[in-house]
Amino acid sequence: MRWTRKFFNQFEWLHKPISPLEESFLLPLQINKSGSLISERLGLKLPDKYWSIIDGYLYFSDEYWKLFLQLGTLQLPKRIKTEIDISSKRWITKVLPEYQKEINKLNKLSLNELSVKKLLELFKKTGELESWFFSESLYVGVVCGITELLFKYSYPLFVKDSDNNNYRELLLGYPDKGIDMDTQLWEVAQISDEQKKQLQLGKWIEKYGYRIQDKDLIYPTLGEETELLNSYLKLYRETLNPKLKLMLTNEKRINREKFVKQNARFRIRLFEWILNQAQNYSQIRNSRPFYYQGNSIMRKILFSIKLKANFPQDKNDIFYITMKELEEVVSNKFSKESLQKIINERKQTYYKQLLIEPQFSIEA
Amino acid sequence: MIIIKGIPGSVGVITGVARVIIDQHHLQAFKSGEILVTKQTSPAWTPIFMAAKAIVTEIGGQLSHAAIVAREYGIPAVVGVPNATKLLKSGIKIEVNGTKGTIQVL
Repeated sequence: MRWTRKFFNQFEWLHKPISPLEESFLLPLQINKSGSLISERLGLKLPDKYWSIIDGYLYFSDEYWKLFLQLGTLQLPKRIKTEIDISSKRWITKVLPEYQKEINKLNKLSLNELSVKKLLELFKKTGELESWFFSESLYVGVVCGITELLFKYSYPLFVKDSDNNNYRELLLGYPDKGIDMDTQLWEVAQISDEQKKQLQLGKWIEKYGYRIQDKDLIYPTLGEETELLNSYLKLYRETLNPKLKLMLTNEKRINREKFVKQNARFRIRLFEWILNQAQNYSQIRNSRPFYYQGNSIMRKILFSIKLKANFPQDKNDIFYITMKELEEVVSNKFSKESLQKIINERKQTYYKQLLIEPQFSIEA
Repeated sequence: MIIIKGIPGSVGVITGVARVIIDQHHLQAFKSGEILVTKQTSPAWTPIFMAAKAIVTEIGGQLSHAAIVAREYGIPAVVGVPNATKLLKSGIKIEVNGTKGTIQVL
């Protein structure tokens, strides 16, 4: 079977090898849940095996195009229209509140008071929650992409504009969770009293420190990287207030909206619907990655397990064992020496994989 | 004249000093107003966009995080530039044309 990394060039995720713990637990959960959700809502049956990890890197089946060679494809336009109408409301009124409610419960738990076995159960439960949320986030991201593409290709049909790429200006300047976080960090940086600044930084980390670097559990969250955060604070002392830039962006959108009204080839409800949906979904798309809080919690749980199970050596060793091995460690079925040997071998493999550029297409 | 081609990520043309950052732990080398040149960005990197004059990445398309955030901040971006971090060196002056998707070494 042929596998491809074709779609990875478009996005920034998963360009490094996947850690053994991620590979054996969270990633399969997230991919399979996402696949099921897309299949269920868009009526397309996915093949049994459509993804694989080869030499540490995630690949998808090269025969992805066969997805559209099934009867379900005939229903696709209608299903897409329905999903565009309901997905944003589902995301905002159901998914986000439910996720946040569960995250708030998890954040209130005192990990020190839990036994190793309870911590492991909690780890699995958090993984399930994060996988559900990830699947919903990926799904709504697909809908975001569809609405933008619909808008991109309809813009030149409905608007007289010398540059068709100007459609992008209509999707800018909306509330964005990531930019809000960064603007608040900028405000912390402007505090001249060092003690007060560090206090406010602590509050910022409590609120937003869960921000992830990449999908894999092995990567520290932004809140764990205090040196990096202090670099940002130093950088921001030399940076102008971002609110001005954001105001200009907002103005750009308003001016482009006026331009569209004045230069529409014909007024038609369909185009207005496409524009409204694209604008609606652009707000969701930009903010999605800034909601992922599960990795931060799972990392804390893992480090608690490491301490209580008297885990070998380095803090990050735990990411080089599989989920099954983690269960065995918790049940005291593993000797420290044999575990350390496995970890050392896996680390070597991982570092070798880090140096290699994965093949774009591979037969396996 | 060396011109490197990529994908237009965010419109605009700007000239400035390149700063190649591979690992975010080297971000302290970045100065406000420089042009960030990197392999890829992630949600953890976006704080730097506020301080950057322009963005150049090796990985990413027009819907990538780097392109979208650059547009929000109104700064030019060229994404999907193969080997950008090897072709461009820190300290050199470059022109980033986010409308055409090109980088010119000055």
